[in-house]
Amino acid sequence: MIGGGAVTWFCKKQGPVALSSTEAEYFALSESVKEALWIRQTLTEIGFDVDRPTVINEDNQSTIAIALNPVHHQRTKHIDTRVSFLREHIKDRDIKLVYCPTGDMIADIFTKALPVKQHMKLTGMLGLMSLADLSGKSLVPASLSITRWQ
Amino acid sequence: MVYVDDLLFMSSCQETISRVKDMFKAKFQMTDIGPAEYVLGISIKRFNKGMFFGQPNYTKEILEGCSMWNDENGLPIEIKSSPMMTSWEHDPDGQILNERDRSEFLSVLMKLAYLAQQSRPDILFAVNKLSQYQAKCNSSDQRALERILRYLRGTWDYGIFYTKPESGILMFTNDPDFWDAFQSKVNLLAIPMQVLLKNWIANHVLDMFT
Repeated sequence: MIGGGAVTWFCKKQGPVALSSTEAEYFALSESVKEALWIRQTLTEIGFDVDRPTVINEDNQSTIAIALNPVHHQRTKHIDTRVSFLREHIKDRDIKLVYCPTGDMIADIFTKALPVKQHMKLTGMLGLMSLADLSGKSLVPASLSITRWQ
Repeated sequence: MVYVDDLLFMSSCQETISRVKDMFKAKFQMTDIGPAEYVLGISIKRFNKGMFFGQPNYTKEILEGCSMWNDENGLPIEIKSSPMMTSWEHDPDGQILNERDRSEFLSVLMKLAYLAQQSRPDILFAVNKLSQYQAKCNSSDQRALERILRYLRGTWDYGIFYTKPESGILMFTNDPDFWDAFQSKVNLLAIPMQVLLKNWIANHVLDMFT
């Protein structure tokens, strides 16, 4: 997300079988870190200062705990390379993991069919707006009357 | 005469844009058609608070193409507020589609996949889910696709709005050395272009007259 709007998104059926939800989160997380690193490179190339780490929102607290705490975990020994990859980029201040409650997790819109209310909320958070509403008086369309995500 | 296609200049500084345009205009004959409004199929609209990027026209075209814009009486079709039912699952016992329906289903689905990837992340999950059943698509998938189209009918003019940052963040400079260096780059660019055009003319155009 840049300037309140989504700039890149993707949705993919997970390939490998995960043994726990934490591990499943790691597959997704390492994909998003790859994407974040690519965007950072592109921004640097066209002259932006990207000195601050890119914030990655994560709604699974145990995933964050494992990434931040370099102790050996019995249940995560088999996902070691992904964890090391993450830790390295956290250490280099390329990315920063931030906890985000499930209700505000924008990426949920890419993982399941949501009820109308939540779908509309996340659609607004992605920066999607109706052109007719934009051309009218209000900046935020009435159908998506939520506070804009920062 | 040889035509070279569009060029797009981007900068957060209006002065930089004018200077670069002047340099190119001095070197090449070109038409300036002003701020970009339509690039690679995406409409760009500017507002005081930011910019809108979307494909409302393309969306309308898709809907009209499969009679999902208006019904037979010319009234707008019934709309849905979300692209997919929360409990939707592919029904393996659904009725197999005939060849015509099947090819229409796949063609519309691919158009939606393009739309989702370009400017409509909100329908990406639904489109992706249906794409997983392309090989064995049946009437249950067809109904799910219809729902996405009904959702799009209600949100056809949606696009992504990027709010303007408080201050310009892209670097720009008034340093004369930078402009000297830039000027020489434009000159360098001009030479290979001329060589390229000459070779191209020699290879293609002259062939037609001999």
